Amino acid sequence: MYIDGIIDVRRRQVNKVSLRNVSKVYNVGEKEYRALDHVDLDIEEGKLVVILGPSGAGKSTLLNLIGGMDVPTEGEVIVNGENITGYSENKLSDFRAESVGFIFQFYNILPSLTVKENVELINEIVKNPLDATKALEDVGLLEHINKFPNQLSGGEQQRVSIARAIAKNPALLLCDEPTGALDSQTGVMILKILKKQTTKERGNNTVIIVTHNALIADIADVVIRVKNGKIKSVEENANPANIDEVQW
Amino acid sequence: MFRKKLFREIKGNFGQFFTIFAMIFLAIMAFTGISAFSDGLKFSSVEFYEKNNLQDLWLYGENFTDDELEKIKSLDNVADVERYLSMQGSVDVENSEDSEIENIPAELNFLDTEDTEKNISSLYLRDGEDYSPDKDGVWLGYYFAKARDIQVGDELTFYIEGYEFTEKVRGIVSSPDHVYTVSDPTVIFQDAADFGWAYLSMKEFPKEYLYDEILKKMDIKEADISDKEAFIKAVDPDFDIEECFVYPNAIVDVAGVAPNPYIKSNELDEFENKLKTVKNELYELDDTSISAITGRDVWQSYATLKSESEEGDTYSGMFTVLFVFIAGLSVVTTMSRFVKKQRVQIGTLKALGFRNRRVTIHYIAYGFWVSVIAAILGLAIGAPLLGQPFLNMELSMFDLPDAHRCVLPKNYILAAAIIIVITIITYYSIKSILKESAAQTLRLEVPHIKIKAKEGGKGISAKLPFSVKWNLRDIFRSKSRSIMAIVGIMGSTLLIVMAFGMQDSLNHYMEWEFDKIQAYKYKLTLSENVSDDRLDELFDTYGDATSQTVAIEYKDSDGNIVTSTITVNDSNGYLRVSDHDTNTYDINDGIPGNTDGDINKAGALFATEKLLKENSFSLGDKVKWRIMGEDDWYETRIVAAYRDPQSQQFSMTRAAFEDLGEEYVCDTIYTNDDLSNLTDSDIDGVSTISSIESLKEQMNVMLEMISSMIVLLIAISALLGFIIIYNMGILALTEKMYQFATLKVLGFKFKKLALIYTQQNLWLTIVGIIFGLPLGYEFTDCMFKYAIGDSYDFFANIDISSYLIAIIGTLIIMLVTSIALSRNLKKIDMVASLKANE
Repeated sequence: MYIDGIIDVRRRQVNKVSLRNVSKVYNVGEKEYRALDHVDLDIEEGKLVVILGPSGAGKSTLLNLIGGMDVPTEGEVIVNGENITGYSENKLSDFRAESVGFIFQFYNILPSLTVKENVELINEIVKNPLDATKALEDVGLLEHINKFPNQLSGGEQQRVSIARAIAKNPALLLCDEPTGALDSQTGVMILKILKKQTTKERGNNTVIIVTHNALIADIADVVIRVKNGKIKSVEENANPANIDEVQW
Repeated sequence: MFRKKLFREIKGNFGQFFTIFAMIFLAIMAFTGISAFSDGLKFSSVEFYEKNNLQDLWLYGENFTDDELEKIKSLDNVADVERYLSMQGSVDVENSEDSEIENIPAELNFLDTEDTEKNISSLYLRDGEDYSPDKDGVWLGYYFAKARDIQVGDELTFYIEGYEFTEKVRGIVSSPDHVYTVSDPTVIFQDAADFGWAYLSMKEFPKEYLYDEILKKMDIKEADISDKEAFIKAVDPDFDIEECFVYPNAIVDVAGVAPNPYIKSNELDEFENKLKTVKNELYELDDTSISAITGRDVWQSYATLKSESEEGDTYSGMFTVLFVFIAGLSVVTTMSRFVKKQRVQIGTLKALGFRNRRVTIHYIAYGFWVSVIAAILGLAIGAPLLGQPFLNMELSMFDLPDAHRCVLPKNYILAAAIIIVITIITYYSIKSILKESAAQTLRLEVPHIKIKAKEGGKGISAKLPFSVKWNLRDIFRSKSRSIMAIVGIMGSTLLIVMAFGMQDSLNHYMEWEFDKIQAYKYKLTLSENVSDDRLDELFDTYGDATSQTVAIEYKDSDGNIVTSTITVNDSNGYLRVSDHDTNTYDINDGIPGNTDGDINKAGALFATEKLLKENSFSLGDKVKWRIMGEDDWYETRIVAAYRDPQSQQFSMTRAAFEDLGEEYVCDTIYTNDDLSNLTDSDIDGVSTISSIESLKEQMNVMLEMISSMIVLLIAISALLGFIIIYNMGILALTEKMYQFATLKVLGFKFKKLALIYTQQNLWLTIVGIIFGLPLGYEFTDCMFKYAIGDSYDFFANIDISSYLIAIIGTLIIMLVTSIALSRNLKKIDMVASLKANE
């Protein structure tokens, strides 16, 4: 169990993301809208990656393709050497269940389940998930485990969402504007938890954060800038900033 | 601009608006259709009765003489009186299939030779020439003539108690007092080809019959005389055959026009009082032979048509309530869906500066215009599409000239009320959104969940599987949607139970009446003048299981005189009496558990349970009654209560009857002998032979008519129910789409999601079924109690198989709907769903 520093070997095999000539085209009426345009990208394991870009740049599309939530119009998405582009609906579900954790701006936790039940939900799809209580303890929600989401603040709800994602111990943690709806102080707390997932102790997970907040880029190992559906730059950050120093 | 938006939105959401349109259209069409036929029957009959002057009173006596008629006419409120002789006879007709001659029972009415015109119940000429007492020939009932293809000019041979005479058909007619005619009171649905009726002048009465009666009085054996008329004239040179005419029947036209009996009014009450006064005055007349007086309500033709047209009120009332309720539910669900989809547009309009009033009017217009169009079409199409076939079905029973459909103001009022209700529902669909600020409205709605003070996930709920917990909480948190779904399913189950339950109940009724109560194979109705010797021969041949029907008058709890009958039952268990639970007994055994006193004591009465209830009588009460035509009243106890599905009356053992000092003269013999090869005229002394199988067949014909009407209505209702379930399913899916999208993102597969979705639907369906099954029984029972005429005592008796069909049927509807809708889960665009939620 990762809390005790024991890594599930099965999950270590999925930790590198490669995109080869990936495009995503949407048809809006009679016009085509190219959300991603022939993108090539490699992301290594154990990194905290921040994807930056203005609205409509293609950040979320990129994240959705990596997470198997959407399929590219052309090109290949390879995760740990497996080309998921040709996966069936069911296989994609398995892929998301076993290898990917998602965190959204508006949490997307189920309002009719308690905090603990929202995390335990994972038991339905993953054979050996992490203990829900321990996952919640890790995000500092132990005293709220029997509350319903509407009894929690935004930051607490986002932590439930993170606990649910990390309970799967996913090799890939994909976060779409995870701090977008939160105040600075709560946002920092969330970023700390996410950063922790990339440590050896947690199993060298890869965390990809999509955001338009450039300040978050300072804490990243890798910063990818996207504009008009293309990768503008991929920068390695040799000395990521201390998260406590980030303010917005 | 808004008008353009309205049209385009309706076009763009055609399916949803068509659902609303269909609901309202079906509801109004069904109500208009049913009431068009039932009101049509009512008003057509009132018009026919008024135009052709249906008699207000029927008088029975020995022979109404000229003097008596004058006395009756001289009463203040009597406008006119006519006399006639009505006799059961028969007529030879050719069978169209094998050209064999068949002898068919017929009611022959010989009219007073002195009446130059028939003013009371005047004949409605379908073909031929007008009636006149001076014309020979016969005026034959229209339905019989049509069924037997008899034309004006045909010659027919008639028989009255063995006397044969031939008449030319002068006219084919309908008559207001023969709108519905049966050969025998036990006949339920008369096949028009098997019974005829006719009017003719008394001059056409077979003279041989009269001569023989005169010779009998002279104590001369008629067989010895070759020319009876010459012989009689020789004895009595002043002999005038017209002086021998006997008129035991008379009809009275009370002054003034009888008001419409279907509309409560002061005029109606006044007319009823006038009738009572005339009745009393008639009874008090000196030197008249009046033995009984009856009004329209006990005249079978009038009463049957009245009860049949009133049945429509119950159908239309009950189905309209169901339809409007289901339509209302459907509109609520459909409009809610539409408004939810329009949130951002509503928010945009508000953000642009449109006032709430303007936005409200625009959105109300959707419900209003769709329901206006649906209502207009429902009103226009209901009568010809549904009303006319129903009316035609009824007209196969009722000979009602110029019968027409009728759309009354109540239909327009109901349509207007439905439009108002729909408009209000539309208003309430949008009201909550309009309360929000523009900014709030512009954000898509997140499922509204109240913050609970209590924490969850402890105790039993901690042990429940995820899907159970999630669905349970979802049901309780979306109470109104869940309740509407349950009500929709309940309605659907209820209607299926009703459709099959009515068939079951009618089958049980058939078994109860024709197997258990009438436990014989053949019933011989005896001729009026059968001799004792012949009767003994008949007993030797067919057994002595007999009964006598005695027409009586009794005083109800308010002291009103009511006409009824006592069946004096000496049938040795062939004609049985039933207890409340349809177990039947020989009358001599009493009714176990419902007998209080000696059943053979003088005048000890058995009364049907419904008669007791309607008269507020109880077992042990004394009832004042007298035999029709007699002056003396008996006051005897009700010693037993029994149940009869089709006639509410009294019964008595032969011993109890004879103990009163009355003579038992049987009029019916019951037998289990096989008489299938015999026709009515084959047994001397017997006027009709009725087989239990033929009675069953007649009943089946009538029940098929009822069934087809009900099945059609139920099919429409079930369709409405299906749409409700479908709408509720879509609403549930739309509300939970983002949650399903989240689950899908987490890695839940389609099958699992479909199972979660179906699980909730299944639970709601089960709850709906649990409520729907007993309600289905209650509605069926209600339908039988109130829709079928007063003389019937039906009740719902539904087989387990019907409940099973209802359960399986509803589950199939749910399953089909769930499967159809769960396909949407496969197509969930996770990105779009989750983004939309943001």
